Amino acid sequence: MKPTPSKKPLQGLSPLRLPAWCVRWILEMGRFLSCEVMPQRLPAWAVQWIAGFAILGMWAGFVNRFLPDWPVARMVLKGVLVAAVVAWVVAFFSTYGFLANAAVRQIDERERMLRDQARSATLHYVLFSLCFGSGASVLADQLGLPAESLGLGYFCHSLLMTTLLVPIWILARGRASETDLEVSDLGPPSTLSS
Amino acid sequence: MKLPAHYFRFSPMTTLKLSTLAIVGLWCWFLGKFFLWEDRPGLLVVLSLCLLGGTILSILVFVSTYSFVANAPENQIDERELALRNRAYSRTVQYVVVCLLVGLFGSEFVERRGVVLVPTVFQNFLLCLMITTLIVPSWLLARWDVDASDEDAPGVRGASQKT
Repeated sequence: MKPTPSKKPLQGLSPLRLPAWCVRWILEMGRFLSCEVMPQRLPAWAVQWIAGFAILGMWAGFVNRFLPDWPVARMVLKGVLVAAVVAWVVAFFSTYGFLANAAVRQIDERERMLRDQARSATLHYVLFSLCFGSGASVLADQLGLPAESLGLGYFCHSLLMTTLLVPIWILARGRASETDLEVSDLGPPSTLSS
Repeated sequence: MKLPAHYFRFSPMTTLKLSTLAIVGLWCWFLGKFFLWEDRPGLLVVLSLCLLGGTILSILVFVSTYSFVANAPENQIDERELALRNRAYSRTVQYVVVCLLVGLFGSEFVERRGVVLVPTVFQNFLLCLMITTLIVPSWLLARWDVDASDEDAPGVRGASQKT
């Protein structure tokens, strides 16, 4: 929809005199946020490995809490955690990240079905993790361990971050194995290629 | 759909009401305990009843038709039920993500106000989230069936009656 030009200049408001580079930067950010540029065309196997690494790295960051005071191991795990955060961002803003989180009207029927299947598997992952978290906390209580040592807040954080990535990993993995089976083309998503 | 004999054949509306009550009861229990900062035995009894009621209703929902569809092996439900279930799972994942986000931001907000969260809060949160996550797919399937029956379209129940 084109904005209707106002006939009269706005009273009391002077237009911002932004430099051209600034306007271009704002427009690029707008395009970026509206998913026009965001999905990078990374191959499926790359997204699969990046997302897989990010998922394992996030959990490694959580496990870091339970390690005894080994400075080297802690430093390595912190490095892994930082790399996992970077991998998380790359995977989330990849084509498959777009596919996993796009609005219904932005993807076709088949992509929607694949996404539903991926989320279905993700739900099992979530339930397993919740069972594990609840079970571990109850067990710690029974064993008389201090509940603070479990870091359930960090557990929730890791669970959230990985729950957002698991569908992306499943979709990328499905696509990577599809190329072997020569099934019809999935990516890039139809709305992006058009 | 081959429904085993020991499953309750609740109507969509009954399942919807039971699951809604269970979800509301469980979250009321969690929120009530979260905001209960003074010793009030009367309120504690009410909250315990919420937990008990929520758990019993959850068990009833677990052994209903919709829970069967939500958890059955793929060879025991037809293509359409599978598609519906995947859709329900998809929505449930969204529910989990929203709950985790609210939980994390909420805990961050509360801690910034000087309240120290004890680990029991997180334990309760995880327990509540786990039980409700198990019910939400059934709740969604029942809700879609109620909506479909309003529009005279066959839902999960319609398919089960045909078989």
